[in-house]
Amino acid sequence: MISPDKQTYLIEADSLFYQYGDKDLAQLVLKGATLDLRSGEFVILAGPSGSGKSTLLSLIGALRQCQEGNLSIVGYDVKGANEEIMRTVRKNIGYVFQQHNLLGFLTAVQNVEMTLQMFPEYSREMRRDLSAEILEKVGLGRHLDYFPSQLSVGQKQRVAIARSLVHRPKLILADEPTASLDSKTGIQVTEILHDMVKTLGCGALVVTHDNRIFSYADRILHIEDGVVKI
Amino acid sequence: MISPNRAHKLFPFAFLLAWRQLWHDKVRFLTAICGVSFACLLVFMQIGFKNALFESATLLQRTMTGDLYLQHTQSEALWRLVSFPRQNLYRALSVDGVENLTSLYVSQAPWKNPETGVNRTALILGIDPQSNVYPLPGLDSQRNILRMRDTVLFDERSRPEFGKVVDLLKAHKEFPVEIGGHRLDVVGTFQMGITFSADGNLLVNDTTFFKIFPMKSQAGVDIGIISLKPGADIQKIKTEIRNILPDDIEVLTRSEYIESEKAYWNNLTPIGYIFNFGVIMGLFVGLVIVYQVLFNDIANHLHEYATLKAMGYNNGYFVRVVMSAAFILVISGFIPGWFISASLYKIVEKSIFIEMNLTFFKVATTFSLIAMMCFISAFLAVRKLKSASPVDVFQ
Repeated sequence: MISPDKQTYLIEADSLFYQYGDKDLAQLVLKGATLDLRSGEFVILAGPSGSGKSTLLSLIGALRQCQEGNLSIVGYDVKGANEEIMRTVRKNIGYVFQQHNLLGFLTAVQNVEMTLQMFPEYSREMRRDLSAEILEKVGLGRHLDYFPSQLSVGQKQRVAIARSLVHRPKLILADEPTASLDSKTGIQVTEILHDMVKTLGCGALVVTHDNRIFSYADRILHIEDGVVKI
Repeated sequence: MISPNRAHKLFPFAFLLAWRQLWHDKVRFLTAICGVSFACLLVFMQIGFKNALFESATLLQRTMTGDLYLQHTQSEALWRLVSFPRQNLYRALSVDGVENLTSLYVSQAPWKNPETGVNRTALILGIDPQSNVYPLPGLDSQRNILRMRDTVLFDERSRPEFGKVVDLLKAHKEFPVEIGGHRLDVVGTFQMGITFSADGNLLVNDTTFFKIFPMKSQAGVDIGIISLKPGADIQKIKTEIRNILPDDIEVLTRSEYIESEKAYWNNLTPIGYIFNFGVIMGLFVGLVIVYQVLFNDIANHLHEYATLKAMGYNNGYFVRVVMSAAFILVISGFIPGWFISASLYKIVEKSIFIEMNLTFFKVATTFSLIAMMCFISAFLAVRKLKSASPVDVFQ
């Protein structure tokens, strides 16, 4: 296992191969994908449908086991790692999805607090304060006690961003974060995500088709037919 | 109800999440509570009826103070007795430790309502009025009058269809009545209570009993009741009596005699089965309702749960959430179910004239069954959690 101290690179993926199914039904999705990402970088990964984006993201998100190649996430070598290490890695990642996936029966601040509840070091008051603080930063300071059903789509996505950032993760993985938003709101949300990444000093890998937000990227990577191209 | 904000201070996260989830959709929460309460009500009522059946069926047995009881092996219950020769009862006197014995005769005959003339079947108990093994309220002061021929004591707790006997007695001290085609005089009352097999009870002396039932052999005894000397070894004497009696007579201790009556109603009639089936049906209905609520809660939040799993929550956390929801439903549904059942017990008691007590045992039994029902529902619903795969959130 690579030492957790080695944190210059948040993602080090080298020649990743991944296939679904076996034998005649085998479908090779990643064919030697290689990429890296450092702290403070805002990197966009673009590519057509079926190019292997989601598979690559789920490997980097420590949500599935790596089959071939080397993969280090936030300093942990996740190839062959057990569920405990995978979960530790996941706790160092903030996830933003196409759908906000907020719990409808929790208020905005309670949804954000859900992230902090995994960490026993945060007291109840700290959880509440940190959650309120980050919601303030994404412009929802006056909507702390609103339920998702009382928020607009853009506001919900901002709550989801706040939820993914509240525990100060080292890495943000965002999967089509603007796909369900209109043009103006999509740019606003991207700006927020970008600013937060830069402020907090973490890294972000954003998978998107939305070329309106490409200008925010430090680097843009393309994935096609299972191979990442610069 | 505890508000979600207050609950925050009291319970761990999984419990809190379960509470907030249930509380948020109040209509569904109320539906689930109604489902659990309904199941609770059914269980309470079925257990109550079954218990009332057993309690009423063994009223006389529990009242009698004899130490040992003799009956024919073909006797199934108090209302289905087969006589055995009286001489066999007397043989028990030869066993050391036996203090005295008495015979009980039991049969049923139509009682003609003195006001309406409508017949109603009564359970008639033929006793030796001087025997002290029947400490029935009201009997003590009327033993002498019951010794007279053709006299009857009427059970005050009989159904009202037997007529306003108490009022008639107040007005006339005694009045004639037709029982099994024979004219007898009602001279007083006692208190026992009705059973599922008899709507009313009458006490007569043994001579009067055989007048009402001339076809019954006076050489036979329906039940032999043996009282032992103080400090006697009941089991030892039971064995000795058993050894000197023919095989077609069984010797029972008081508790065995009570249990044999219960066993008849539970095993040899469909009634016990019907009540047990009612309990199962109630639990099944509750199980389906609770399962639906818990399953839908999981199914409707699969993506959210998958997201939380991706963030680092493990499956065990969500299992605790579902189990907590089940626990909340147990408590929220049981309490109203309990209170409604308590009221219904009173109403039913007044309608069927059979005592129905909401004992601690019934409450504990029902609570255990309802808790089991909810947790089985939760266990079944939890399987759906496996569908919440964190990998699916990147699609």
